[in-house]
Order: sequence, then structure tokens, then C-alpha cells
Amino acid sequence: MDKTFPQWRGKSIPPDNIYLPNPAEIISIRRHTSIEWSFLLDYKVKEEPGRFVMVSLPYVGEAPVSISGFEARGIELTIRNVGQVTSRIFKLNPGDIIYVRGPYGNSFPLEKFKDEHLLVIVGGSALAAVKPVIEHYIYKQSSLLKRLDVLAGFKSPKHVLFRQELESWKKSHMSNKCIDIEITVDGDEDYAWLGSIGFVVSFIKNVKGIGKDTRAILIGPPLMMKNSVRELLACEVKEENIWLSFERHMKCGVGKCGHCRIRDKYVCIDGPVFSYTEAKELID
Amino acid sequence: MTDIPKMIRFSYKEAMAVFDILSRHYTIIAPVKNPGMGRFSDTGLLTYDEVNSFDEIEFFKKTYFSAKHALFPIRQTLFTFQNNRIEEVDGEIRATIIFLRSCDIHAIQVTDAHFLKDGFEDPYYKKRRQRVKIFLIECEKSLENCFCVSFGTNKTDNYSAFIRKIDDGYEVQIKDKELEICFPDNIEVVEDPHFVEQNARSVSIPEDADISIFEDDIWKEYTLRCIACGRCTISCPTCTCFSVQDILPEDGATGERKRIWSSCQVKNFSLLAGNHDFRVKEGDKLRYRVFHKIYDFRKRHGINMCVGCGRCDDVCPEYISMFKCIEKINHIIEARAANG
Repeated sequence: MDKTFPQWRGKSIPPDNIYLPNPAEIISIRRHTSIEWSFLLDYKVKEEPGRFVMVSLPYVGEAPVSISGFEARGIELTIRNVGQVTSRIFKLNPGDIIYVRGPYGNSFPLEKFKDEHLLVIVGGSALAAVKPVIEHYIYKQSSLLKRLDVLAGFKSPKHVLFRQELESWKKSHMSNKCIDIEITVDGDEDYAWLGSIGFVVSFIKNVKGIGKDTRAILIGPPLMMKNSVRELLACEVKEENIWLSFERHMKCGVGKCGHCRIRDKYVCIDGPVFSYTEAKELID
Repeated sequence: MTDIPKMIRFSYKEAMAVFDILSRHYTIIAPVKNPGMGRFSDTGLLTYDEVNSFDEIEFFKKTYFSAKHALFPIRQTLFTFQNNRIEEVDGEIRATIIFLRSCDIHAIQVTDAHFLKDGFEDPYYKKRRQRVKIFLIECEKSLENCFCVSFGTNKTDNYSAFIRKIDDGYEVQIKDKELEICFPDNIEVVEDPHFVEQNARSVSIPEDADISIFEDDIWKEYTLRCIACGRCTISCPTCTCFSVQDILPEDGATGERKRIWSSCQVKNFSLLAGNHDFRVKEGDKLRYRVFHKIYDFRKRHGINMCVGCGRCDDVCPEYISMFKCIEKINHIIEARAANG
């Protein structure tokens, strides 16, 4: 099969059919690690950090991907090459067409962070989903927060994503005392890491000013989220001031296929962002 | 004021002519026997299928599978990729009549709530649903494993017509004016449908579902028994989970995206790319299904998802019973209340 996909565009899609995807051209590709690349797509949506789109390739399948950047030219998706659909996407080039539906789901409640201390705790490639929030505050609205702390953990130095962005966020920390970016790795076998080493959880209590007025965003592997919540609560952060973003298997993105349901909630339409007061009731 | 339904009686002889007119306007789906198709040697299987005469219809026994495939097909093409474009292929849907018992009519109210009223509207379900008329068939007495009375699904007035098989023919009450032209013009008195008032067993539905019940030992027993075959969800009239697949035919040019039935009881339902799974043990999967049926769905939509048809109990190869499971949950709640 030819690897270029149907160059079909501009035909009107019946607006009432939620399952029909829209074609979008790949503008550019950035390679972070061998299995994590960012694709900039010619697909424009409103800036709402936390939401996701359903990405598909005809003949291959469809998968949910969170939006890692809202740019003037379109959305950026950071994709990890771990599944059937994603491995095909990694064979595409700029100029090729990819199919997109959405955006779906809710977004981080930015209005609730106004004039507050915001702590973002993120593990691994989940940084993609929360990157728009961090960028929103660093580049656009830093005055809206009292203070921003980012705690990002990766497995090892070679797993670090968005190095370019992390560097420039750190630079903004130099110019703005109210922003602090801490990057850690779980382990460093090659002695290649100059920063901190250890699980993100162990750095939570050292965050400057952490306490009952802190607002926290948590996103990452299930175990890391579970341990971080416990640590946050121990640091007197209130349950209702912790927000978690969930990742689940999804087939439709619109609350019909049932795969992402947890109790009476569908992660795709009621989430992916839940406050901990809701999330603690959500047992798979 | 509600209109008095038109009442008609016709003999077996006349039935052929009536069916003829009906089938000119409608596809008719009803319980039919499939001889030799049963689970055991020399047994039949009762399923919902298209029928070509009233004789074929089995009025008195419960079907093994529900009629949900009429609204939500087992495999359904969403669209095709062809000639460099995506095309919707779901053509015109023929008007359809489905013969349903009260519990199965309630089941359609459940799937309506899920597909039509929860945020997004499902266009494929809606298209079929709009073309469906329901014919009520009554249960003279409670069938095996039924517990509809416990869920309040033993009665309904949500149907277009009611049909009863009698010794020498059929009796019909027609509520839907559109259907009147299909039936002969003989006014008779037809008794209202009888509904089951009592089942052989009954259970109370837990009002609340505290997550501490999730930790109880009863789920461990189910882990040992359940073989994750998914029969319970396939036979259930309200289970509507699906997966999506892309199909690439041999010519390599045309393809299609389909949805097919899926089941939360089967392996890998919640598996993420990268191999993280959220429910691996059979007991956890069963707990997930049972609480959806008796609590979670109600919390979201205000009605119970389980309609008490008992099909999951009928079909389970390990003799796991939904009914018994609800009883066990009640016992846990009672024991906890007693212990303060």
C-alpha cells in the first residue's frame, strides 16, 4: 500500500456524524526521542489546554492523542510510538494527510488558578498533555499566577522530552522569580545528568510555599499519580485543589463505546481532567 | 385524554393476508426458533430474527439473545475510504417492527438514554431507532430466571401495538394510527395486555454503592469462576460497548471503518497501548459490569440499566448469576449496617 494517504480535502462532511474524521496536513515533525515525536497539523482549534483529539489513518485505525501545543498554524500532537496506529503515523512525512476528529473532553480549569500558587507535577510523556498549560502561563499570562512550580520526572536522561522547551522555560525562570522548573530523572546509569535524580514524589515537599493554598495538577503513570496525591495531601494541599488527568483506552471519544468508563463517568466526555474529590471515587 | 386503541381479532387463516400487508411497509423482527442451533445436542436456539409469517413467531418463550442488534448491529460499517475520499455508506433504513416483551421495551429506553441523550447523539443508532415501531408481546407468567418485578420493568405503555396469540388466531390493540391501515376493519373487544406481577424470585436494588464494597472477598470467588467469555454482555439487551476496526480488503484501494460489539468482561477491554491494564481479574470485571447495571447508569441517567430479563443468568457457562450477585451485595450492605 502506498504510504501517502488519500489527498482528499475540502469536501463537506455531514456535520451531524460524530464519527467522520477531517483530513489535516502534517506541517512539520520534531523528533524528541526515537519513539516520541511531535507532529504539527494544519487543524485549528480554540486554545483549551487538556483536551484531546481522535487521530486516525484509514486502513489502520484510530487513537486518542492529547493536544501538546496550540499554535497559530494548528495543533501540535506529541505521539509515542507504542501502538498499531502510532507506528504507522511514524512512517509519515510533512505534507502527508492524517485524519482528526475533535477536540474532545474537558480542559484544565485555568480560571481556578488565577492569582494562586500552581504546582504542575508530571511524569514522562504526559508532559505533552500539560505543556499547553505551562506555556500559557510562561509566555502569555504569567501575571495571572502568584507562583508557578513545575516538577517533571523522566525515567532516565534519554527519556527527557521537549528539551528545547524545558531550556527556554528555565530561562524564563531566570527572569521571573515566580517561576521554578525542576526536572528530575528516576535513574542515571550513564552519568549524563547534571540535574536532580529521584522520583518526582520525593521532591514535592521541597516545593517553595507548598501548602493549603496550593493548586496542583497531576499527570503521569497511575502509580506516580497515586503516590503524588498522598504526598500532596500530606503537604496540606486540599483535595478539591488537586486536578488529575486520566488516560484510558478509547474507541470513540464521544461517550459511546464504553471503554473509558469508570463508574458513572466517561473519561472522554466528563474528563480527562477530574478534581481529586471526583477522582477518588473513580475506581476502575 | 388518551385515545382508545383500535382493537382487532383475526384468525390464523386471515393472518397470512395481514402479514402480507404489514410486510409491505415493515421489516418484522420477532423471536424465532433455530432448530438444532442450541448449546446442547438436539436443542434449538431462540433468537430475534426477521420473520416471513406470524406462524414462525414464538410468543411464549424467552430468546437467548436480545433484539438489540436491530438497532445496534453486531458489525456496522461507519464509512468507507474509497477513491481518495471518505464516504458515509449507511443507506436508507427500512421501517421495522420489533415484537418485544416489557423488559426488552425498557431495555430500549436504556439504550436510547445512552445513544441519544448523553451529550453527543449517535447518528447510526438514531437512524435505526427512528424507523422502529414496537409491538408488545405479553408474558402470561414469569419465565425462568426473570426478575423484572424487582426492577419495575414488568409493565410498560411504551408501544405502538399490542399483539396476543390466542387459540384460533391473534388479537391486536393498535395505539399508533399509522398502523391502522395494515389491519382489517373489524372492531372487537380485546383485553388489555396482562403483565407479570410476581417473579419466582425477587431482590431489592441497592440504593447506594459505597466503594468499600469493591474490596470485599465476594469478587475473589468470581475471579475463580468466571472464564471471561462475554456471553453475559452479548446476550444482555442493554450492553452496548463497541470496538472500532479498520478493514483493508485485498484490492488495497477500498477500505472501511467498522464498529463491532465489544465486552467489558473479555480480556484487554481496558488495555492501553504500552500494556497498562486497569481491570485484569475476572472478579473486578464482573464487579464493573454489575455496578454499572444496578447503580452507575442510574446515577447518570436516572433509570436502572438492568431490566431483570435474566438472560445473563440463562447463558453463563459457569452458572454465575447476576441475581445472586445483587443478593450478595445486599448482604454485605446489611451486615455492615448491622455492625455500625
